[in-house]
Amino acid sequence: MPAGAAKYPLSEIITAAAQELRDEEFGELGRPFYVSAAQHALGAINKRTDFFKKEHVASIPQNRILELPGDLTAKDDVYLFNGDNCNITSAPTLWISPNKLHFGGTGSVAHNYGNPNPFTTWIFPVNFAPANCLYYAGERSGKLYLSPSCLTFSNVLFLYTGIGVECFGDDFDVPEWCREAITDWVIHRAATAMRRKDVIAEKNIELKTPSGSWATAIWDYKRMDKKERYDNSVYNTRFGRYY
Amino acid sequence: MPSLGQIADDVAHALGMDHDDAMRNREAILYVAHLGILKLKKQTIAKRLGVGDTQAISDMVSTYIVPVVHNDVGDDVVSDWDAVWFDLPTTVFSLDDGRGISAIRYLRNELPMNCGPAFALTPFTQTTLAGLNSIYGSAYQKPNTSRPYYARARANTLTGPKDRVYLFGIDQSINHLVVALFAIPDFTTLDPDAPVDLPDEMLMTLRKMILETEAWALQIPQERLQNDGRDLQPGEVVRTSRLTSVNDPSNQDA
Repeated sequence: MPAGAAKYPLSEIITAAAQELRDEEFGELGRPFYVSAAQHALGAINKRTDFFKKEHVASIPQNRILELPGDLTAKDDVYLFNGDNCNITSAPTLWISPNKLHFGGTGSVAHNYGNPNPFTTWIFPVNFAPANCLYYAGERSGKLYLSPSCLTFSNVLFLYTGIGVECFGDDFDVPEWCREAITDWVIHRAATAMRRKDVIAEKNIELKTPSGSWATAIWDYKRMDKKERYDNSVYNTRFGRYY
Repeated sequence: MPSLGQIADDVAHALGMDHDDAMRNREAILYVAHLGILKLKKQTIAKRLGVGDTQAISDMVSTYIVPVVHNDVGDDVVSDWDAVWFDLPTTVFSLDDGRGISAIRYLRNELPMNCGPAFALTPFTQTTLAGLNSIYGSAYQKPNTSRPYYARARANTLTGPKDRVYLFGIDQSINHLVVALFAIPDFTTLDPDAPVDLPDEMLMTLRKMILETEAWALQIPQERLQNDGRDLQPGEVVRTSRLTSVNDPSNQDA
């Protein structure tokens, strides 16, 4: 997928939106309304594409309960490592074990053993204990509950998707591939506030039909760019051959 | 462009009231002319704003530089909160969405030439005092120095009511602002020699409005001795204000 580095300042988006609504002076709704609407739009398209990639490193506390990054909307990968830098060749993956929960002590709750009492504290028999080289964690209310084996490492590296903006509340840039979609969303939101039914109807087409700007932006983001296509071509035609 | 006095004289002549002891004098007609101008200006502005055509009425915007007052403890209405405000230098038209104030900007006379002019920078956004609660609840909308707000309210001060504009998010160092207003022409002085403050194409409508108002004024008071209609002779016409069509230009409010 073409992440693309091209971005436009927010003012490009909201000026175009306000002009289309003939509200260049922002006299009816105010400029902050348009900025807020654009942030909503960026968050929504981020949810559909996971375009806003971020990294975060956190230390593993002794109670093995770790706060997730506050702006995490989806995890890509989680690695465990020691030292200052995550050395991928020796950093194991942290697996997510659904429903696993502990309170910093021994044992853990996991609703996946068939016991009718979900809060039973299980102490693994020796033969059934997870291998020490298996690192896993449960997730609950914005926290990770790490298995005891994770204490072998000091840090966790998160590769994740953020909320679409770096600092919530500040102005932001809009990626090139979703410029039209974000503009249409902002116009739609403003037209709804102004009760402009004609504009709402026009923008509904852009935002809700398969050929509209919203779907087109998602399509554009998810398609391969030229280099990816070349790479794939080479991979598919020459992989495993000597020449 | 004729003067206000010329319009008044024309109407007086048409009504046959241009002799010395006429029932309608020139000052009274000037006053009505002024009212007519206000109405026509207001409906022109409202109409254009309604369709987003602000360029057509940009010549009706007046600019002022106003001093900003910080933390006024002597304010009778808001003495217990840190109000930052200025008083409107003139009365403004009452328009939808508070558009009587066209724009407020920081006064930045010392900006380098390569920067945009003051009006191109940092727009002030209008809200109401009661609306501040919802605005402060939004990270992208709450006031700060780059996102200032203003709210109008009538302040009852020791020197009488003031048409006050409260400011939110502006820095303590701000002493002056530049404002653009749809200002109402001064009512306290009527200069007969001043040109009529209207586009020429509206003079016909203005003249008609003045004539009708003056003609009606000449018909009252009509003495009615009983309020059940028996004071009239059979067939006597009851004089009423002339009805005008809703399609008359003077009625095209929006």
